[in-house]
Amino acid sequence: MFLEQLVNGISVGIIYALVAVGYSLVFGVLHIINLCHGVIYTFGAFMVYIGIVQLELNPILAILISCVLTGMLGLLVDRIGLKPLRDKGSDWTAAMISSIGCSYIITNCLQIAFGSQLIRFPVLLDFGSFQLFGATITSQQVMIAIVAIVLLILLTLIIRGTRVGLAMRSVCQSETAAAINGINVNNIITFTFFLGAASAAIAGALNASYYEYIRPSMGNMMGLKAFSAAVLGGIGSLTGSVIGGVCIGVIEAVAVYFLGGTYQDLVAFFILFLVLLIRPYGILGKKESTKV
Amino acid sequence: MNKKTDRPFEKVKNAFLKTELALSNLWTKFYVRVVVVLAAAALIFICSKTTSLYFQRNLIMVGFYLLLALSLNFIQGYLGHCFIGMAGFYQIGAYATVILTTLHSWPYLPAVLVGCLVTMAIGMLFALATQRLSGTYLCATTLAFFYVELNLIRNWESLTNGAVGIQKIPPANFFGIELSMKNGGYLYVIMLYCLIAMIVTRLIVNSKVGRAIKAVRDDSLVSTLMGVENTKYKIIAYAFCGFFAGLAGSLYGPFVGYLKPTTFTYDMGMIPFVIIILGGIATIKGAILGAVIVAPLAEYLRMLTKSVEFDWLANLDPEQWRYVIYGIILVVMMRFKPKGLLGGQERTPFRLPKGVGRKES
Amino acid sequence: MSLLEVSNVTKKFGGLVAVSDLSFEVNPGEIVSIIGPNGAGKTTVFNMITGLYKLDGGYIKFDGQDISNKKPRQIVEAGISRTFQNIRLFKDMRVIENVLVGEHTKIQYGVFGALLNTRQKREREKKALQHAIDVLESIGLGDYIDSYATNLAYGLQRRLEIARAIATGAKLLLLDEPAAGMNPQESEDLMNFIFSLRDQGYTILLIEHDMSVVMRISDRIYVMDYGKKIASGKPEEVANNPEVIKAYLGDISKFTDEEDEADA
Repeated sequence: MFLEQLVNGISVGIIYALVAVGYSLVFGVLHIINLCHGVIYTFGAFMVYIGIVQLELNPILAILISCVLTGMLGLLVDRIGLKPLRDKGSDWTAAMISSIGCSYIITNCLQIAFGSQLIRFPVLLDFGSFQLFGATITSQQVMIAIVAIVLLILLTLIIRGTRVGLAMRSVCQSETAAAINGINVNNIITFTFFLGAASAAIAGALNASYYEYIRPSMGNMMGLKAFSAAVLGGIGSLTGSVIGGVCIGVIEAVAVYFLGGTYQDLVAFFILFLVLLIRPYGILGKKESTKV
Repeated sequence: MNKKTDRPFEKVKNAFLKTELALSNLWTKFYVRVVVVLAAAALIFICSKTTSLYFQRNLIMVGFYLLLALSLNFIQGYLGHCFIGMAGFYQIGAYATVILTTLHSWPYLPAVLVGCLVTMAIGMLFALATQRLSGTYLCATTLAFFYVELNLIRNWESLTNGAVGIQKIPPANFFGIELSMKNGGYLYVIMLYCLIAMIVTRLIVNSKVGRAIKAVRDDSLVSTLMGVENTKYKIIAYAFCGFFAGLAGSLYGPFVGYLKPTTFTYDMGMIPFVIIILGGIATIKGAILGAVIVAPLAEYLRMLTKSVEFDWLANLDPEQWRYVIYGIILVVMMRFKPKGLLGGQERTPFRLPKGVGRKES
Repeated sequence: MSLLEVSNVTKKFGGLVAVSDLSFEVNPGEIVSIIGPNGAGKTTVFNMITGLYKLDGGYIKFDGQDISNKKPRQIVEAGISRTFQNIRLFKDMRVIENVLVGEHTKIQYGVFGALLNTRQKREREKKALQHAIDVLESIGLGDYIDSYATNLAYGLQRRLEIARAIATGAKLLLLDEPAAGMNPQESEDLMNFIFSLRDQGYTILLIEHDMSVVMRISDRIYVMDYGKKIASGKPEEVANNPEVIKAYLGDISKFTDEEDEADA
């Protein structure tokens, strides 16, 4: 039983990790936390819902289309909500508030379109379950693991193996230096948003399939928990986000196993407070010193 | 640039600045302020007797949100923290007061005081706990604060009755007078609370406390090196915010008559935030302007959709659309006027008391 | 007795030694400068004196009292205040408000006094306001009392920073590159201003790169490089010190030797 709970925790943790990756990517290039991210995740899940349930497309096709559409939403958020502020030289509070505004617009549009109730979501790719060391592992969980691994490998390849990825890493280090070397910083930032949003869309589809429902407010909790995961692992670090996500998923599952489910949601926040108090740069992050 | 078209614009601008200066000078005189407050009170009296209940309810809600905006101003305007968990303080104040009056049969006013103090204490604890955080981390923590608080209220059943909530809240009782919509009591009281909050804001801002809080906002490191203990003043700012938000909550419970964990939503907590961003951060008049525009936005939308011919427009639910517009307000304000419509640098000179001034003429 | 005594102080950041076994002193009424190449550790010394950094060794005494590792507030109350390399004013506050924050530790009332608008609060506030205006007038910023700090011209902003430091009631002023970004005329005005401060009784410790200012203004100079003191003394002595020349220009002795040979 405990092992099974652990497996559940890992599965959920992987989903947290996929969303946390989006936070880290955006933080890496922009040094702000995209408070809109949870909502983008919700949008992704809803696009998959439209694709599969309303348009009756092939699930994989629906997910791919959702990735593109959600990526474009991320792009729009950056271009309309954030880039004008960068051009103006506004400080990060303005960007943060703007991202809050964007999250409001998107989440309420979804609510207007779909209502605020739960909507049933079909299970994707159900091949039953199997036993391993006495724990039941569902095909859902296997699918989550496989998709996540593929996605993370893809992201790592993009970031470490392509020119675009190199450009991304240089913008992370120094915008000015990157710009001097001919990199179009704004395009790179927008592309990063696209990647983060697409990952969130996939996480949204996986989550929807796992819990079998979606609702417009699903991004709120997920956004915060994934944020906790990113902070735990060290925001800005991809590996950190993965570690953070799985950690939070597992700790949550363990807490539920021993303490019951009432305070499940508080676990992530408890960890967030703890991390921010003790080691704000996370497990894999580096301490930043300020010069006077 | 065409000088001929410039001149009328310049004239308008100068006229505007002159009136602003004249009004501001008038406002410095104590008797002017008293007269204005009395006039406002008279206006409210007339309102409560002549206008519809519908109008009064909306005015009361404007009052509630104005009070929340004024309390948020302490931390968002003067301390510079983005606090999006206001619903948390609101809820704590409401629950604390109502728990005492319904589950423990306390009289109303002492329960209000305790409710305010509890909310204030929690605000101060939050400031203490987050003293070393800044930036977006802090903002996300304020959101987490709301969800934690919501979770606790929902699950701590022995204290709060859990998800069922508290029904049949007795009406607020001020020295024997029970407030109701009929006697306009809620209207008077919420406006009185707002007045108190405005006076306290002014008193604090025009003192070393306010300056210290603003210094922490503008340059935390340098303020420390000038001898301003950052943590102390953060705690003070949050204390005021918590107190007045708790005050708003303490009246809200009796006003709606029942409380559930779901009564207070994240969206409600965002309304004071939008009010300040739109109206102007760190100004009282900005909060008033923002509250008047933002709080009854659903009603404005309703009036708008009714007067317009298009069917599809009339079918839109203003309750939902107001939030989309709030979001648009945030994005647009950040783009064009991040300090709010009435925020930013004041164009009037710094007010000096009598007997203080330059030696040279 | 020296006003400020810095004795064998050391500061490490991880493996990097920013300041190493540094000792110097400043006597009352002196104008002392600390010079040296960038990264020599000069601002780190200021940060240690003002309580921002913990000392990793040694001690600092001010007016006979040990102020090592004390909190910034205590150091301000003891009588030391500073300005900054990059101007750090409170941008969204007015000129007079900036100076009033400088007076913060000297204004004796608290939250309750402010809320109840007590007579004590009103009187102390009046005193503080008048003092702030007097400081601003004495420094030539009397016309700008109402202006917002961010709207002032660069030279005036520098002066405001100094006004804020003076308003703390400090006896010792630490000025971190006050002449940075100034043209010769502005530097001249600044120099005269610093002399007038000294005449009013302030003691000044300066970090500066502008040699025309340093040489003319200083009673004594300390030279730092790589966190250590490499020379000290009167301006003329320091100017001709080969170690100092080496620190700034590198080892040029071999070039001068070759020239002599070529001439011969």
